Amino acid sequence: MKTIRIGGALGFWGDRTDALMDLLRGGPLDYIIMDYLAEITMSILQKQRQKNPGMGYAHDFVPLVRESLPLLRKNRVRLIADAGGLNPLGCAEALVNVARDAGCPGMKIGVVYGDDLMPHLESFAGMGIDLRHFETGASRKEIPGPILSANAYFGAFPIAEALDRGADIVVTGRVNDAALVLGPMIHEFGWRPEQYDLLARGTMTGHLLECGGQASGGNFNGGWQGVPDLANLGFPIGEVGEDGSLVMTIHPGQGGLMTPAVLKEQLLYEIGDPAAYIVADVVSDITQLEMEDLGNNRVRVRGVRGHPPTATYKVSMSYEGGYQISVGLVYTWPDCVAKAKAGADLVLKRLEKLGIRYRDHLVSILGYDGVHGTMSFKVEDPDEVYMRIAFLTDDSQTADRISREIVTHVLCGIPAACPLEAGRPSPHKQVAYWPSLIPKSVVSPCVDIKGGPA
Amino acid sequence: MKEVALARIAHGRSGDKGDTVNCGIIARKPEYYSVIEEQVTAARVREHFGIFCRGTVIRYDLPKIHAFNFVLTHALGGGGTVSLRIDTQGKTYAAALMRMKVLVPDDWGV
Repeated sequence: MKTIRIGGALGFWGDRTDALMDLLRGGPLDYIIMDYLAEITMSILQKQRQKNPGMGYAHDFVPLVRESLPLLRKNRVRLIADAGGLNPLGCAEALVNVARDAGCPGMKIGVVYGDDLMPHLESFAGMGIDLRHFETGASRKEIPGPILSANAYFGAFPIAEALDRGADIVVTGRVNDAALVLGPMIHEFGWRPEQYDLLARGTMTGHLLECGGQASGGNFNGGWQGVPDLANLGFPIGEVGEDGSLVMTIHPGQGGLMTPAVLKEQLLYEIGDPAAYIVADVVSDITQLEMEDLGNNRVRVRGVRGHPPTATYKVSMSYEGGYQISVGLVYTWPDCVAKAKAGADLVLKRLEKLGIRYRDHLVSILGYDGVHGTMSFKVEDPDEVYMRIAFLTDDSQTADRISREIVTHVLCGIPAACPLEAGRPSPHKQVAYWPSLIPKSVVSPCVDIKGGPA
Repeated sequence: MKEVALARIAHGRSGDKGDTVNCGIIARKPEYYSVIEEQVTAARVREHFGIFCRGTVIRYDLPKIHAFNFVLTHALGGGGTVSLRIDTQGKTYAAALMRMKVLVPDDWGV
């Protein structure tokens, strides 16, 4: 039976960049996928595209490709990444240039795009497509700020098409994360759109690989003390067969851990109903999924079933929110909790006196109950706490005035307080998120090949 | 019977989708599964999170891997990009759930 090996080298934009080279050096692979796009990432990319229309993709993917190109070619590994973000064509063009500069002008860069719905929003409205919020049911007309981006989550078949057409590297815009893995499986094994069980197995393989090191011992709550060598964490590898069979593993000699306990945490990560994990290509059912520890950092996964896909693509839209600023001070023993509470009250009184208005605020006392509030096991008289107040304001000037106020409390406020960091905190603009659905019939993925022989 | 934190018999991971958080909770041994099934109900989890979850809690059971998935709606103060909380993405919610008390047999070495 034909088997391929796929590695997951990145779990989000900002994750370890040395994992790609470690995966390439550690042993044989056929594909490596890199998942850059979280919900939050699209809003970061949107901010960057606002400043520079040529951006909007994960720009540091490009030097990473440059660094890894010799090994990718030597080991015959193909790379698939959603680094294209809001500008996949711009990303592909940058990669063509990198390949040419590296003396590999024959490299073919596949690009999947067409997920950007911004140019079509008005025509959708004309067709009666409202893009309602899929959790609250609210109409798009109720979005309280200007829409900044709108993208459909495409599936794996466009990625498979790019590979069928000879792409060495595939970059995409918004696709569901697991599609990065299912795409090469469709390409290699010739799976068809109605082979739901196979597509579901490939999708769940993708779900296990899309968060990188979190599937091989990173962020492992079930026994982090027993995970070897997190500094050299081996990123996860799926050995997949043409029947959808799967063994998850890591390269020998690298850090990390592959056991059912580790893998179960990732399996359940960011899912809803386990009987209906919905992506563009298939609805997966993992309620009968089983794991078997094969020893030596190898886990067999089986029992995934598939059902026909829905008639819609998921859509993520972003819109302008307000400005957020977090300010705070460290208070020390004795009575530091009482001091922190008094300090927070004092900040709010001062803002009232100065006429500084804000939309919302939240006081948190870290070291006491700051993260988990009423759920915390409170220590009665801790040595030190950090008092943090987060504010939501209409504009950056207001946020800045709040930032100026907090530093005065070192001299004019509650005693024994010091700043946590040097300098004043600076505000950031919020980009809010609006998930929706759109009929598949009105959106079409585009696949193109850039570069290659002239 | 003795009272212990859920952390003694389970582990888990949590994450976000919009303003929804899910907590995947896994029994540390197969025999712990039924204790969690009986005692860590959706209603109790909803009560445990208090103001941190302003929506509903649904529990999904995965007996073949001795695990549960709890889905909490309206649980992030508006969602990852706009929340004023410290943990804006619900990364630590499973850890918060680990504080819940459960009753286990006295002879369990947990």
